[in-house]
Formats: sequence, C-alpha cells, structure tokens
Amino acid sequence: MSDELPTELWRRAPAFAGEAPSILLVDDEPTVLQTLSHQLGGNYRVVTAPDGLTALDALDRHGPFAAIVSDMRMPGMDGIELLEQVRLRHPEISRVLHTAQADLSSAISAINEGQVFRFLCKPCPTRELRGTVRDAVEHHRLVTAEREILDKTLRTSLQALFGCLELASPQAFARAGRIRDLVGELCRELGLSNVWEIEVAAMASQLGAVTLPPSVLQKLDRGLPLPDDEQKMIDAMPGITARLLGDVPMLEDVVEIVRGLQPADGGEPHAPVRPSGPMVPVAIDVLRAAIEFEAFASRDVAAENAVAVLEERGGYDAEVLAALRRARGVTAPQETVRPFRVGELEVGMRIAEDVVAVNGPVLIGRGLLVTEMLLERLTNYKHIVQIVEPIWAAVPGTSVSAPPAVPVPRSAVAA
Amino acid sequence: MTVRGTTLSIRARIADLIEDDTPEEVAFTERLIVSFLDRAPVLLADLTAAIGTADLDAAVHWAHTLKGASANLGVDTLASLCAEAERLAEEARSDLLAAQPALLESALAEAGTAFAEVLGDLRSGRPTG
Repeated sequence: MSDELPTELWRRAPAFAGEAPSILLVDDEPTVLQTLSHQLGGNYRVVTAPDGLTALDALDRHGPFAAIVSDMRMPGMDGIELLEQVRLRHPEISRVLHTAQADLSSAISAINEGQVFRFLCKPCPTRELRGTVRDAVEHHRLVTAEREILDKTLRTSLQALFGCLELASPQAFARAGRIRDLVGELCRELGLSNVWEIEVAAMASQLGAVTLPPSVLQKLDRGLPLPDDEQKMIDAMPGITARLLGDVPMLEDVVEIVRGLQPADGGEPHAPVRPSGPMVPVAIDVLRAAIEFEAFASRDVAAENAVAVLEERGGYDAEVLAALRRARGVTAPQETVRPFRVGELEVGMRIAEDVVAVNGPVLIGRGLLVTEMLLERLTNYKHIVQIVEPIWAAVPGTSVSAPPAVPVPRSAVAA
Repeated sequence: MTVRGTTLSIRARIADLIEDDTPEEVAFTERLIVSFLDRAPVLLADLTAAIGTADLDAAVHWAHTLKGASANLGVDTLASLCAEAERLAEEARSDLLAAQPALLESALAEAGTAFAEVLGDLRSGRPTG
C-alpha cells in the first residue's frame, strides 16, 4: 500500500458537505485524480486514493461511500480486482470503471468479476462523468432504500410475531425477554457482532412454549425439574421454532441457532442442516448458557453457584462462562422492590413478580419494564378480571434500564 | 496529428474542464497545465532512459503514466504515441521502440506550443474553445 493516506482533495461546497454523498476516486496518476475531483467536487464529498489497497482502507475509514470510480491499470491491485473486493465488502456501493483500455477482455472481466455499474473512457467529458456518477449515486440510493424497507419489514414482522407470543403466553414472553437480555449482555461481554440475530434467536427459542400445557410452562418458568415426558415437550420447542421460521428469508442463521439448541439422539447437539454463518456455533453456546442460567435464576440460585454448576456439567465454552461470570458478577443498579396497587405503578418500574388473575393465569410475566402500553393493559385487565394485588415492582435507583424491545436488525440484507 | 490538431484537442478538453467558467475553474486549469508542463519532460526522460537500457517493464510503466497524464489534458498526439510505446514495450519490440523517443519529444514540443497559447488565453480572459 502506498504510504500516502487517502485525501479529501476537493470540497467546494462545504455548506453541504455533511449531506453530500461521498465518492471515492482511485487512480495512480495524480493529475487524473485532481481533474476528477475538480469535475465532481461541486456536488459530492470527494475522497481520493492512489492505489487499490489505500482505496480499501479508505472505504473503512472515510465512508460510507455512495460510489467508487476506479482506474483500470494501477500498480499492485488492478481496477477489476479492486472493484471485486468492493463488491464483496460493500455490495451497496456503485462501482464505475474509468479506463483507457476499452478492450473486450477488460470489459468481460469488469462485468463478470467486478460487476461494474458503468464504464467510463479516459479522458471523460465532464458532462458524461457527472451524469454517470449521478446515476451511480441514485442506484446506491435505491439499493439502500430497498434494504431499509426489507430491514423494517423483517423487524416489524418479528415484533408482530413476538407480540403474538405475549398475547398467547405472557409468562413465556417475559421468560424470553429475560433470556434475550442476558444474551445481549453476554454478546457485549464477548464482543460479538450480529447481536440482533442472537437476540432474535433468544426470543424465537421460546415460541414453542405456546404448545406447553400450563402446568409444564409453570414448571419451566420456575426452573423446576421435569419428568421425562414433560422434558420431551421442552426439547421439542426449538424444532417448533425451526418449522415456523424455517422459510423466512434473512433468518437462516437465527433458525440454525435455535435448531442448535435441540438435543439430537444421544444427547449431542443437533448438527446444522445447512451451511451457516461463522457466528452460529458460539451463538448456540451463548443461548444455551443463558437458558440454563435463567432456569437457575428462576429458582433463586445464586449466580456464582449457577455458573459453578454449568462448569461442572461441561459442554460450555469457557469464554461464554467467563462472560457469564462477568455479566452477573457485577452488582446491578440498586432497585427497591415494593408493593403497589395497579393505579400506583409508574413507567420505568420493573415487574418483580408475575402479575396473576385471581383465578390463576399469569397476565404479565416478571421482569418486564412498565411502559405506558403495559399500564393500559393492566387497567383493562383490572376491569375484566380480578388482579391479585398488590403488585410487586422494582423501583429503579438513579439508572433506569432501557425498555425491552425486539432486537433491531442493522444490516440484515445483503445488497 | 499536426500542431493545429494538437491545439484543437487540447482546447476542446480545456473548454470541457472550465464548463462552468468560474474563476476557480480557470485557476485550477492553469495549475493543471503548469503541472503537466513541469512533469511531462521528466516522465519522457524516464521513458527514454528505460528504452535506452532495454528495461521493458520500466518502459511500460513510464509510457503508461505519460499516456494518462497526456490524455487527461487532451494531448491526443502524445497519448497515442505513448500507447504505441507501451504496446511495443509489452511485446518486447525493442527494435521499433528505439524510434519512439524522438517522436515523443516532437509531440511534447507541439503540446508545449499549444499550451502556451491556451495559457495566454486563460490569463487574458479570452475564450479557449
């Protein structure tokens, strides 16, 4: 790589620099870079790089970019190789090849390997250059917008799905939320990326709870031991999730994580049914540990003892257990648990014990944060069924936890 | 291409680069021309030396670099001759390559004359196209 850092050569519209799309220009000839910067600098934030490696570095350090315009023939990495790398690392960036070599083999390689958006011949007239880059930026905008719509569709669909779980089984929903919160903490401790997939898997792993008889769900929720026939029902839960979500695009790794929870015959973990992302095995470990830990916590087993039992059982990744120790070894923000009437509950408190109807069913699971919507639900319940009062809720100290929410997929869709 | 042809191709490119006709564009274009006139003789000397020592890889590199800088300012004659030198060096045609430096010198001299006119026009505010 050249020692020369990528530079921002031209910024003739500083007032709009914050909003102007960014363009990366790559050429080993400095006068060509200066000329291109001159031609495009009025409308874009322009960053230049003298070679392919510097350009790849600039993509990570000076992005996000809407488009890249690259020379073909450069020392080291040529333009086709660079644009292929850009396609693999940043598929949403529009790729333009700026070349004096208009031969057929270059064109074939650029299309097949770099999947370029446009060719420009050197020297390119200003109007043609600006028109092409404008089209490339628009193409990027469309691709990005489509991805955002897909992300939003996925996110809201998952919210609806977990909302159904909450309606069907408040107890299971609350348990799923507790497991997801712990998974989130473990992921942060472990520095894992794609956390949203693991958190979604945590929620999704409890979808099968809707098939459990109330007595079994009650035992599961309280972490109580189960006879074999009831344990089989629990073991079948990941399979139910896999069948529900198995055909949903972009949730492939989520399904594999949940499927990995299912013990196969002989007690060994279930083998993946198809190639999965590199994070899946560790995600399975994290989720298994979180579910097991939740069972202990539900029985009021001290965190130290719970982790010690998991260590003794074996089969857990040492780093995951270390993360569990760190996550649960730190004193949580002080909360005071007190009894309240429904009308006394306030947003920001946390439900400390299951809220149940007088005739028995759990209406709101423990651990949920009190939100305006939850207060509304409780008020409605109070009018329809008798709620056992007082309700035990934790009043936060100075720090209040973020409200539980469905994990947000940040880049769920490859362009 | 004649001196007249070189002048025309250069003027067409310069006119394209100062499309918006702002003082900033004119100043930038002047700087670009001066930079080329400083740098091109050095690149040509490097190319000539590479041909003289039969260092074909270096000849390809310098011919390619001078071609890009020339084409960027519309010096089509020089760019075409560089492309030819680059091809001959790639094909290891040392016999034919030996004649290139003289042709390139002549084309660069033509370009220098044309740029002197263009710079005069730019500095006096006359249209360049």
